[in-house]
Amino acid sequence: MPEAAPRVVTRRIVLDLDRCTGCRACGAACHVGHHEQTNLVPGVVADIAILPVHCRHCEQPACAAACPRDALYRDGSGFIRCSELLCVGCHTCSIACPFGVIPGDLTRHVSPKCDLCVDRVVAGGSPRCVATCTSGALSFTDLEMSAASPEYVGGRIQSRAIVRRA
Amino acid sequence: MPDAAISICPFCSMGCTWRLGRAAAPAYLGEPGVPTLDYTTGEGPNRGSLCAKGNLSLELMAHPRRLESPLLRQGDRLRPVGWTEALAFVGNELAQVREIHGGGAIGLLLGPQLTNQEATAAARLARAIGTPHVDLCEPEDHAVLRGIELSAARPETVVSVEQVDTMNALLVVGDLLTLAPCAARPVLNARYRERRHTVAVLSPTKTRTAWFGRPALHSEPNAEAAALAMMLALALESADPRGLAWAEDARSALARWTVTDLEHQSRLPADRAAAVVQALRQGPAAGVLLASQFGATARLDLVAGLAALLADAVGARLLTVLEGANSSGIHATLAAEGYAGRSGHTTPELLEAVMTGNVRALLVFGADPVAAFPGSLAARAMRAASLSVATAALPGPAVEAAHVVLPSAVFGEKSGTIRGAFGTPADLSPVMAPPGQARQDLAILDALAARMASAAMSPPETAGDSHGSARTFFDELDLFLRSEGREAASREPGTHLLVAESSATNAADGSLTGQLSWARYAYPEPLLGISPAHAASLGVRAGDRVRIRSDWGHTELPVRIDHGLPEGVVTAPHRDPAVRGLVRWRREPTVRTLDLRPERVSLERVLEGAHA
Repeated sequence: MPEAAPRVVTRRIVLDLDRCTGCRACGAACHVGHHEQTNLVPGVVADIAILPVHCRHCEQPACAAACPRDALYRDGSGFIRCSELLCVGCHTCSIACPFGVIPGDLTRHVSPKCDLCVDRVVAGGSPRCVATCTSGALSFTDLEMSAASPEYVGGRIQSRAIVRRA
Repeated sequence: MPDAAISICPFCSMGCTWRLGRAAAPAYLGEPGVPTLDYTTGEGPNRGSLCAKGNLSLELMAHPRRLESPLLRQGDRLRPVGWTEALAFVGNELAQVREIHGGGAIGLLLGPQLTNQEATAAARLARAIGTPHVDLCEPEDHAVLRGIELSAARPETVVSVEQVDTMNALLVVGDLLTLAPCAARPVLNARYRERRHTVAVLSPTKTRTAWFGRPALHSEPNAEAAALAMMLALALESADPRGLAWAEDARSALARWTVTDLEHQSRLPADRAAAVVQALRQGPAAGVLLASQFGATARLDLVAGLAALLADAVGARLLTVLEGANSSGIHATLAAEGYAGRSGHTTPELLEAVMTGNVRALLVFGADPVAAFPGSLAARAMRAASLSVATAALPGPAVEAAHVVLPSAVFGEKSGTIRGAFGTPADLSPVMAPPGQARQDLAILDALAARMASAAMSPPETAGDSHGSARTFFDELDLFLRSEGREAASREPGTHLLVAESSATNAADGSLTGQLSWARYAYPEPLLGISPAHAASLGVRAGDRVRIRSDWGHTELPVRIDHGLPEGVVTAPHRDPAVRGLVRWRREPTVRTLDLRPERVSLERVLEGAHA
């Protein structure tokens, strides 16, 4: 079957802080979908909450700039991907990422860099972590629409409802 | 096998649908032909989502350690044998035990993942053997089902997840979002739809569910029953008793306790409890959601019964979410087959009876009594029996103790019907064949029943009072409140209560899910949760090891600082082998379920560890 022509996907993963229960289903789905290598980092907030921290697929990716093998590149969909042939698992991307979203442990000796489940996304679906989210906290949202929303703050939705998490 | 199939997630009673597809070539994320999870189904209570355990269920089917042939114990080792030899051995041994000691010397334990058809077949086998001892082997679920049965409350039940979405007053009892993460979406939908909605969560610790409580009702650990009794007393103050068969019994029982007594015992302010009761009563769509995972309570039967009575009294709908996928279906099937009475032993009684020599053979189908019960009694009983047979898909503590191990199928490999939390039967469709010689439990049960049928049959003993009476229930409640009141007063300073861990238990607790790769990755070892103040007083930081001592044993665990824990309470995954040894075996003589009350422990720092 011929592959569909690549088109830039402007949607990204957004987390609604008021809905995340810390069940870690997103991490498990990522683990299952990526050969037992989890590509997302559980962010532990002072032992109060566990929230998934996703790769933002930056406009100017520090990880790609730092990679000594040029293994990280922007693909036709606009996602920052890691070439498994070029990557030597040197951890530099993990250290360079300003958001700390590339896990440091290597199960498969290549960088566990989020690929936004491109296989599902090009077929019109959403990444596994979003699809499996049990509380509806994760969404795969258009960046422009999100940026226009007052609730959207740097990849997160805040203050949709008044919640005391702590 | 079909290219895509819809089946049910096996890990709790929510009955989430699972849609399995085949990975399309040349997807680099999956080999062609291997089933993959497809999250697109809109059916079922999960509406496409799946919790961590559900995501990992495929791994159970293709697990490298799956048992593929029957095993027969010879000394310390298990020897692979054929089905004919294994079944002949079991049949002969059972016939011998029955001839010498009678059918009543054989007991059957059923795991919560058996289908209704398998429960019926188990009843058939029990009839062929002539034993009254058939029980559901899942201590928490058994206690909850028995408690609701004894309370005689008959509230309306929640029949669909959409009903929860639209509720405007909810009381959640137990750690629902840890037990069934897929329940989060409907609960949060109800919570956020309207700012003034009440979603109260009754919990002694800040569990995952309690974070979302508005209000969060924090009671004293082990005093949820007192808190619910107070709420029931408040509800009955203004309830119209017409139509409530149990109202008089309840009033006379609760008359011995003033609201102030119960407030003192539960440490839950009466005005907060009254506000929740009022919100539930005003409805119009109110619900009580009960989860069989509590985190810190002793008498699950009392808590469950009281939650059901409260729902009945205020006209709220009840949703009971159990740990076992088909616990309620098995309970109902056994009752219909005449095995829910008082004549047969419950699981803890059976295990005790093996130790006293009254029961000689144990047949365990799809359950792991060693992992499910505290202490080492279950393992000792399985070893001490003349014959112990376990059907299992993966090696585990029960397999290590059994004399004969028969390989069985897991959820994605079998067909049949189960009954989930919403009461509707759901069909399981197999998506893969069991590996090697593994068979469905149904086939194993039928083969054993055919062997036993040649001998003289005796009908099951008449079922006793399976529904009990509200009076028994309230007598039990009264006893509990009296004893707990005394124990609370005599609590020694410096000791701490060890309660079941609520965040890690579901993935890495030493039971079946602990064998999944992600569980080992996410929770590499069991941790002891302690409060920041407690950690400071012990001089430990995250990752340091502490020695935990109870009256029954001691163990060492690394520490995890938990801001949600009150002073004086520590948590650990209760199915972990090291933690099981700290907890005493207590059985309630009246309702005959296991009392999983928090154990008193003392802690001391072992050595400086790596700081997490």
